[in-house]
Amino acid sequence: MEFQDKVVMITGAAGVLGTALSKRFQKEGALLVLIDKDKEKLDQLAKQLPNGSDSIFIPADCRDDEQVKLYVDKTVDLLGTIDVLINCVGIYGPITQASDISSHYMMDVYETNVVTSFLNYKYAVPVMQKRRSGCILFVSAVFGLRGLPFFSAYSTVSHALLGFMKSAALDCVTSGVRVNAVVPAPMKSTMMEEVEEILYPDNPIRGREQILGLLPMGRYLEADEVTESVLFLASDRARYITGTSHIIDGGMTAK
Amino acid sequence: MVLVDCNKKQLDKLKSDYLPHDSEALYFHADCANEEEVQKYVEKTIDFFGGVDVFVHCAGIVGSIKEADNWSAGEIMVAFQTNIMSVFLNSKDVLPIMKKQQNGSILLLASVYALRGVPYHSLYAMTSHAILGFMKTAALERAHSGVRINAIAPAPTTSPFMEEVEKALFPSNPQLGREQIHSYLPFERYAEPEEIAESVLFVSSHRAKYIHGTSHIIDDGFLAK
Repeated sequence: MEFQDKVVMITGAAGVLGTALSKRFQKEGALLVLIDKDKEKLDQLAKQLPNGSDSIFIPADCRDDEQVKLYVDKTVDLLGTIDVLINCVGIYGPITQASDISSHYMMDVYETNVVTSFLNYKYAVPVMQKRRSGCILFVSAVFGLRGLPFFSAYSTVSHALLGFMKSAALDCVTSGVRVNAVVPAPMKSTMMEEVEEILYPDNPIRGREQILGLLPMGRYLEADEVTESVLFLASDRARYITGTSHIIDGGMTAK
Repeated sequence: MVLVDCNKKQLDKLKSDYLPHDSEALYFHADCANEEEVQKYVEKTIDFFGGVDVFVHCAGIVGSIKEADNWSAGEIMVAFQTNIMSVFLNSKDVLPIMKKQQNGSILLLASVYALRGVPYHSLYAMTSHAILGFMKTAALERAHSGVRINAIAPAPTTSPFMEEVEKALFPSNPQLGREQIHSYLPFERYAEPEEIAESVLFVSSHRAKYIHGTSHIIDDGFLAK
């Protein structure tokens, strides 16, 4: 078990990717600290995890500075440290032409996708630096490397995350903490089902075909395929890897 | 394992010093930029093992270290032959086999110089970039075939290769050359071959089955700067 007794904190833990990650890291022996703002979903996750009682579940809003500080402090009190932090909180935001997005929505996407990652980083990194060891992972998206019509808000914040990740990685190089991002293609999830519906409200299947048309492999990415990369990057096997974007996209950005 | 190298001495050493004596491996002393020789060892591999599941292409040279306008056409051709033609020839013979198997993973070793420039390394940067162009295109052509093609882009790695570069930079004091290169690297040390090997193992495994057409960077933040 590669993460035996390692403290792994996952934010947005009750989402599709967060759930897959929680199960996978638990299989590797990790002590999990699972954060999500949706208490009900977090309770469901607790029931799904085979050894749910070994994990700490904290309902909290990662956009709120005080709440983030509180759960990081609580984690250190209970478990002594944080070895791995994985930021999975994110939304697609409005799917419409750039000029039709209200500044309110733009701010909302920014807060949810970037500010959350920043706050978690801000409070977790001193804990890791003290022990000169740790790994932080951001979940960006292929739209952090390219544009897509009607996704300007999501593309903006996905790019922003990579900018933050690279600079943070350089801040950390001498302190033993590695910072990387995973860059997945659209993943099979409730989020994508919503997108399909927004694209073609009368015929979501057309929306799906349109999105799959962008993917050379002709299928969505599965959450389980992202977890393997996260596991690799968080492990000692990737000890020379920092400041990079790990692309999992079935050839989408090769186009 | 099927192990191919043009350096017979090193290949013998690999066999005698590094690998367990009972490892089942074929050794070919061959030039992987020579069309006939490539065909021969790929054919022999198929005869012996029946297929190729993973193909890792590590052959390559840095070439001399000098300003971009100082190369001769001959030097450019040598680098092209060694770094690019070899990629093409091996892929040409291995791809149809993997396509028939509907399974396979190809990994091409490029370098961080495929994603940025570095003064005095124009030849290496040029051929490294070219490898990514080939990789991405071949990946798109094979997206539905079960064959995956990716590249690895490591930072300078502890190797005789880098010792040559250090010497080329400061012939009278290679240590100075090493310090200069280390100063580019945020961790101020070279990557170790074992660190590259872990990534190659991961990307070629089934765990990376959606990773296709990408460059897997192992550079300790070199490109983040």
